[in-house]
Amino acid sequence: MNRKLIFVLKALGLAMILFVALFPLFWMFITSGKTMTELLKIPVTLWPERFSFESYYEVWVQKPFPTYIFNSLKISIVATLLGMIVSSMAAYGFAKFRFPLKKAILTFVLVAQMFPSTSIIIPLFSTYRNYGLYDTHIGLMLLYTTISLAFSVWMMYGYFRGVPKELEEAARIDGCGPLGIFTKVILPISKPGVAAVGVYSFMVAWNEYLYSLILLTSEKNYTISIGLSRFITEFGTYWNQMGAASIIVTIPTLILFLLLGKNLIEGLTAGAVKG
Amino acid sequence: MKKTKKMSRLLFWEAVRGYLFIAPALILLIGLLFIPMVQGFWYSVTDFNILKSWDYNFIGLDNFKKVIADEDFGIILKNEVIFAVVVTVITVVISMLIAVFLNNIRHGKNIIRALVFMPWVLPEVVVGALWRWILDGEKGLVNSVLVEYLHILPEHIQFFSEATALASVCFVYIWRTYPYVTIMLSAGLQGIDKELYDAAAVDGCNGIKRFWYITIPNLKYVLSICSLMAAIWTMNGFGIINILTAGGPGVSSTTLPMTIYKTAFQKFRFGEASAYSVIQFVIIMIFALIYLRVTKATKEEEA
Repeated sequence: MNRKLIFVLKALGLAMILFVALFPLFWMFITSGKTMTELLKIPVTLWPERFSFESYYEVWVQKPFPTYIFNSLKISIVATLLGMIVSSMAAYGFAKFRFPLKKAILTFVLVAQMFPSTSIIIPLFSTYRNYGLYDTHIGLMLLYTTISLAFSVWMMYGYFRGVPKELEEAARIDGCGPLGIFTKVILPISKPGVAAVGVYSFMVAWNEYLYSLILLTSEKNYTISIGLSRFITEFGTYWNQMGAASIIVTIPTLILFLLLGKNLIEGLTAGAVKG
Repeated sequence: MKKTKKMSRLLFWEAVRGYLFIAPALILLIGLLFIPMVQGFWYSVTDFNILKSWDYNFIGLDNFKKVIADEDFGIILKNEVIFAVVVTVITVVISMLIAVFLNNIRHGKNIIRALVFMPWVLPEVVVGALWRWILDGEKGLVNSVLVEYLHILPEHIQFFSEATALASVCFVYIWRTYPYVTIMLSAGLQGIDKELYDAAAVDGCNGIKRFWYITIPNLKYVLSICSLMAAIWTMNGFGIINILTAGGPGVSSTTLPMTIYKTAFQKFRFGEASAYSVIQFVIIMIFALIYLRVTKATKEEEA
């Protein structure tokens, strides 16, 4: 009897936790299926009378959302690849070579991630204008690569330090140089870490808002964050379309997270377990 | 003699190789984060205002005097402190409860962790939009359920009024942050030696005692890291506030980043905005130093 009660309580608790985490997303989906006339009803209907794809059509065909998505995909993919290369190189340098100031530089990498982005953006805005990076995608790619670096370097550093010295020695005897050891031994072993860095960098780039808000100005260059935020200010009451746009924007993150989220969570929590 | 010379030459080349590997990352971090930060310090003592001109002159500490004398400065600082403290404390407490709860679940741990983590991977803009329409004063879901469906309240609550906006912003940031802290804490919980609990149970310790004397001390490190990270993220938070309330009504939900943004990109007073930035930077760096202290201290303890 007691056991049953505990089971029920546990199930209830779990249901509540999942409800809090997921219901808002579900509500976004429900709203996206409503028609304009249904949206105007008070009280709000809890279920669409008839799930309509009208809002998806509006967002996809009448508004330039495909352009925003294409831009964001382009920027995020380049930033992710660049971030994976740059951060794994740096982590390898930190993990396998002795050089002066290593600790200080590692600390700097860690602290740089805490700099407030609202402060960075002011000088960056004028620098970007001076160097022709303003309103370009290249400017954002570089910036997005940079803002996820700190985390990526530290995570890879953890993985690389775990690679047994014997394996490297063996490769060295087989005639591998430092670059060969890096690409043929260390990277393949650290695949889960590389995957985690990839997911993380993609999400940072895909979700980023402030920098693109300031550094992009022409509509054809907009990223999804800017597209969506403009949408909120201009079409404040078209909540079904906002829902549809939000769903569309969330899908790539969702797919990536479902595929590689396990790696990301492992990478994020690695520090928590080791201490 | 010759040998040491050779050694030092080897060390020299090792260092060169090391630097070459970290160079690209370092160039990006210095060029796009560090130099702008320092440039910002310089702007803070100039009259930079891009509405007037792209040139600027040194004006000493005038910007800081102006900023501190501003009638809203006290409110903004107060908002920032309330925001950071409320979000961090509630997030950590809730996450702790959820983590302990999830730790007692045997099946489907991984999938549950992934689902709980969801709010953390959504774009900021989506989180802001989502809650803006759930909490809307007229056609929001919460109001409809409380008033029209369940008749618990006589009339709609305005979640974004002068009195409530900051609380709503806090709530949404908690919703955004707790998944991260929860998965960190549950990883920490899994790292605690089970035998400690068994021993305590044999000694007749009850659940609460075990939580207090085993769980908390063993989680000290993760708890402090998570709290500091959550505090720093919250204090730097911009996107969700901007979408939810844009700092309003008035300055009722304006924090420092919001002020910096408004001063720089709505009034275009770069010098003044940079003065706010310096203040923000100092506060963040205090927390960063504590963070470094904590991580270092634990490492030495272990060694």
